[in-house]
Amino acid sequence: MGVAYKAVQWNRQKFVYDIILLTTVVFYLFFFEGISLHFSSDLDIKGIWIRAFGSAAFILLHVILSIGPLSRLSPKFLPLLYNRRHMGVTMFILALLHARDALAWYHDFGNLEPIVSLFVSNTHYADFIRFPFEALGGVALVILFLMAATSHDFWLTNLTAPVWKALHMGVYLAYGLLVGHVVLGALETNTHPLLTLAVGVGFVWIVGIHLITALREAQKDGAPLFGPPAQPKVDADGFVHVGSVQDIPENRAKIAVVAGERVAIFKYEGKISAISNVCQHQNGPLGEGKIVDGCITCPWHGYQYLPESGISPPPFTEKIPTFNVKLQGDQILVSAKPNLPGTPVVPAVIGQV
Amino acid sequence: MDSTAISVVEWVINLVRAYAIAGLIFALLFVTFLVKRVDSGAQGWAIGFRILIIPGVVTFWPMFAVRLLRGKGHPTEKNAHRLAAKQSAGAS
Ligand code: HEM
Ligand code: HEM
Ligand code: FES
Repeated sequence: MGVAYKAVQWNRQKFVYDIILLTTVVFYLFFFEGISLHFSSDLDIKGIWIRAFGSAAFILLHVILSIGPLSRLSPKFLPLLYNRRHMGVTMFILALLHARDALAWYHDFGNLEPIVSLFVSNTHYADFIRFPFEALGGVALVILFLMAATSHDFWLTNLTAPVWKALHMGVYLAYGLLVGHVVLGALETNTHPLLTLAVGVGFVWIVGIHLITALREAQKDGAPLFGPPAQPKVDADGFVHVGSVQDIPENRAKIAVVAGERVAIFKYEGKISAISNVCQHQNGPLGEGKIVDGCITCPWHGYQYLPESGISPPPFTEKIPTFNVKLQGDQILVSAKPNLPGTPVVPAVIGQV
Repeated sequence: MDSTAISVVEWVINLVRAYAIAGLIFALLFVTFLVKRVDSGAQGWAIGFRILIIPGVVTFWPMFAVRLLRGKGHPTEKNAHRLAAKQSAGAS
């Protein structure tokens, strides 16, 4: 957690995932080369590697984009979420190799520098079919660079999680640009129509799982998909009814929307405590985690917080806003006003009035 | 090919280069001496960590330059709950 940065927080699991990731990528690249040479031995080897790197990066991008929604639909995919960072960096390096080789191959002649030639050798910016598809790839590469460069946890702390996440949402812009890059590039270089079809299938998949996940999340929050969320009813004392003690399994939480954001209401050792659902690390959903060794443990990367105060146990220093709670019979009431991050709150004791 | 377009593109690329070179000089100083001042998480030598953040510091160096000049550390995030908590704490 937020103490003493290292290059990579290695553990056995991460190591195994990285080995699998790298072997798969290397296998794919040589497989691609072999198949291409088999079907047309007159192809230039440089041209094959441009396509091998480009397609490897593009396929890996589909995997990366699928992990977020899939791990919300089923916790089975959570281990992939932990490893997404290294996938992202791997895919950036593949894209970089693709771009470097393509620049050297298509633009390193004449008296212009390759990078200048990239933007000026095709200026049909107003034309659809002849549109300079390479410029689209170039812009996407810049976005991917920003994400890879800010991938270390240092950047989460120094940009703050919301800014960092906004930067990461740029991946969708990059993806859109790359769909254009690949489809227009294929049209211009007369590649097989199967490539365009495959890109279409990938696109439908990505949009589809995102829509399904968004609908499921909106249902869980009891909020409409569009427009402002329904405001919960606040009673005269400024408390909100969030449901019954029986709804919550031991050491688990129920999530409710209070004060414009999700709150995690935990039940443990006959007590109820509520803290903001937003993990300070990467804004993971604390309410989907468990209480482990007396601490609320984030399901994403395991940051921990004490349920009574929202503070990480020493030597860590993270602090989360807490909420006053009370019970009326088995009904749980949560204050509509959050307390400052790290404010201790007396838990409500079940069965005591 | 359009020669104005070429000189515009060349000019922009030189500008980006100048920014990146300034950033690289700043980044080397920053990761060797200054990073501890903005983030107490940077402890000991942790050479791998310091090398890993160089590309990002080259990109975002003005942000760190401003923070160092103001003598500030890293900020804490703002979200609905944190803002609401601050507001009601200020009111009472
Ligand atoms: C390199 C270091 C990276 C780390 C640490 C990382 C991890 C994360 C995390 C934890 C989120 C927020 C999760 C959420 O809101 O669901 C996120 C957002 C996202 N990142 Fe990254 N990622 C990294 C790089 C990349 C790269 C290079 C790509 C793709 C090219 C990428 C793709 C995404 C996507 C698609 C989202 C937003 C939607 C979602 O799946 O939830 N990431 N990233
Ligand atoms: C400056 C940046 C880039 C340049 C100059 C560039 C250049 C090219 C060129 C010239 C082609 C056509 C190759 C051919 O058909 O022989 C191509 C295709 C392609 N590019 Fe890029 N590209 C760039 C960035 C990217 C990025 C960032 C990605 C993905 C992450 C990407 C993915 C692809 C894919 C998947 C193809 C189709 C490969 C195939 O035909 O099998 N490119 N690119
Ligand atoms: S988001 Fe990473 S531990 Fe909570």
